[in-house]
Amino acid sequence: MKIKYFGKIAELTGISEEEIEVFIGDSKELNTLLEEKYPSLKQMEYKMAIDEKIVNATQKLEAHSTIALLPPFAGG
Amino acid sequence: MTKKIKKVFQQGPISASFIADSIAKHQSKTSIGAHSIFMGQVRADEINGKIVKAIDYTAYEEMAEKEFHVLREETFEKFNLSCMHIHHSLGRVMSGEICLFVFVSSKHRKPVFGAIEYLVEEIKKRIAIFGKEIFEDESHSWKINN
Repeated sequence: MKIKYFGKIAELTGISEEEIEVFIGDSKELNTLLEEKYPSLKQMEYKMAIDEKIVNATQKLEAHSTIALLPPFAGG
Repeated sequence: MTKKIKKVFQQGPISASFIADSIAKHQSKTSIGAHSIFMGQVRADEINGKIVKAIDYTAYEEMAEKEFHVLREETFEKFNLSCMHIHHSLGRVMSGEICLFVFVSSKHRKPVFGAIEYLVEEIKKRIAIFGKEIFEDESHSWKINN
């Protein structure tokens, strides 16, 4: 599963993307896993996107999903 | 109507000549009677005593381009427009330079006033664009739209 990081979040993870191997579960479990890996995420405001769609409630993940962690938007 | 998928992002600031060319291109579209333009300019904000000299823009480009497309379709549905152009910068844009250019046209004035406001507000809210505010000493903070 590919995880992409953007903006302030890419700055704190130090990478713009990574592969997480065969993680089966839902978006909430992935969140917990990522916040364990990058503890400073817990203090951050961000949204998760699965296959380019914002996650609003806990959602199932597929092995081939592309996940993105998005800090607050700043366009315009 | 121009409804094909268009690329919104361009590298660096949006120049005055690009905007002028864009306006000039509409002279042949003589059913248009009203244009409205919005330009977003990088502001030299003071944050904790430091002045913003530029914003470095990044985006989740695939997601953002798709959402721009959805927003364009939505806006064409809501307002009676002849055409619509949206351009946003990526990379470094210095204070005083233009980072967002929205241009809508219609037969009459009413639809363009509504459409331009709707587009700008929705872009700020919905599009996955990130802004790193660079200060004069090269330190930075992260911009958040409100």
